Amino acid sequence: MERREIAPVLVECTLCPKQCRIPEGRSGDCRVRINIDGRLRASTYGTVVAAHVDPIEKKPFFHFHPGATALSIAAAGCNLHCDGCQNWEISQANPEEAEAHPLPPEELARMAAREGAPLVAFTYTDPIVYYEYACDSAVACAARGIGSVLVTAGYANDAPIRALFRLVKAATIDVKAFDDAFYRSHCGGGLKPVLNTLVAAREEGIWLEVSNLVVPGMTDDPVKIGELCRWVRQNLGEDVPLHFLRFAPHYRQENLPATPVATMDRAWQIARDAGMRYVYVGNVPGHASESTKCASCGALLIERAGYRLLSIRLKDGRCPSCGGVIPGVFGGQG
Amino acid sequence: MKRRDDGGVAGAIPRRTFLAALVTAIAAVLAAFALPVRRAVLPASPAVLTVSKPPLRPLTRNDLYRAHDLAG
Ligand code: SF4
Ligand SMILES: [Zn+2]
Repeated sequence: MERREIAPVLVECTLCPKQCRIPEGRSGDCRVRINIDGRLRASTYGTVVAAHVDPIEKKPFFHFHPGATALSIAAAGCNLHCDGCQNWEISQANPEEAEAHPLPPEELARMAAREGAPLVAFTYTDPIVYYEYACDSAVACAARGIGSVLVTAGYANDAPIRALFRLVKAATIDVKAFDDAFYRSHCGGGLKPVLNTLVAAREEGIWLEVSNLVVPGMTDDPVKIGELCRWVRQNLGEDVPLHFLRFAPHYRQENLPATPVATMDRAWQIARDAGMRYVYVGNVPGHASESTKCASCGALLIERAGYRLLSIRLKDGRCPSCGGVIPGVFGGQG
Repeated sequence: MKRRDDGGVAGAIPRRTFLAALVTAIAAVLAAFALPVRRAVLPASPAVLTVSKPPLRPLTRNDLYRAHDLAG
């Protein structure tokens, strides 16, 4: 066949705002998407570096099928490079070097059914960089009646992320900090596209929860946490569950201490003061906020111990005490 | 400041390395403008890595439990 190009072609990946222009044989910033013969290829398609059946609470999802299990998987790589990444061994790995296992979409759906998991979660690294695999897997799972959920940092371009949202039931989107300078210097990204993704998730009508890792001395500024909470309230609503996750020393922030529990309590209080109704503190076992209480009357509705569901007292998605509607997707559980 | 044997300052980027990096960066920028760019149409097609190491081995039930300490 005639080949018209005489010069090598740079392929521009349009999946995330980095829009890498990738030379022949090389990969983009995520190390995952490569230029082979002038075409963009997804190098980790159909391979996983992690697979585990987790409670959905661990993602975290607290208002989406409480107590359900999710076959949770990840392919290698990420388009962000956060200094404190909690999963850096796989997110910052070279796909050529990571120990990966083949698990094509159809096989993944079969495995979820075999494990009795009603959900599949694309998580641990970032499904944005294994976009094609996540899309095809969501379709294969839907064909078996298995729902898909995303756990992502949301650093993506609008059109592709909306296409992915249309294939899944829910997303937890992690906002690293309400601070563009922090994204630039500590994550290799930017804030604006993440906020766009949050709004897109809301507009596409999927169930949405928001998380934020509180890193001492980095992302624990009460002013910034307040700004995040007010933005979420104004743009996504007061009913969006907001999770503050406690940091443990990892990767390039091994030198930092774990977040003091008092700092987590302060973040929780700031969010409540900003009018957020369902606020949780994660990675602090036994924390008072790990159970869901009715935001109107304070009745205990969903009792948890860590990620474990102990009891659920909802009636047709309403608080049995005051009758208030509890935001979420509870299926047949109440 | 502490001087190294080769005259550079300890902890600083050696000048030769810096110049080489600068020239490479300028060349990369020029090349990016000179080469034709093709905007990829998503979804990208799958490609199985040919240089994967260690070799891919099928996922077993044991592997299913390896990720218990990952976040998310
Ligand atoms: S997904 Fe990867 S290759 Fe594509 S633009 Fe983002 S970092 Fe670059
Ligand atoms: Zn109530």
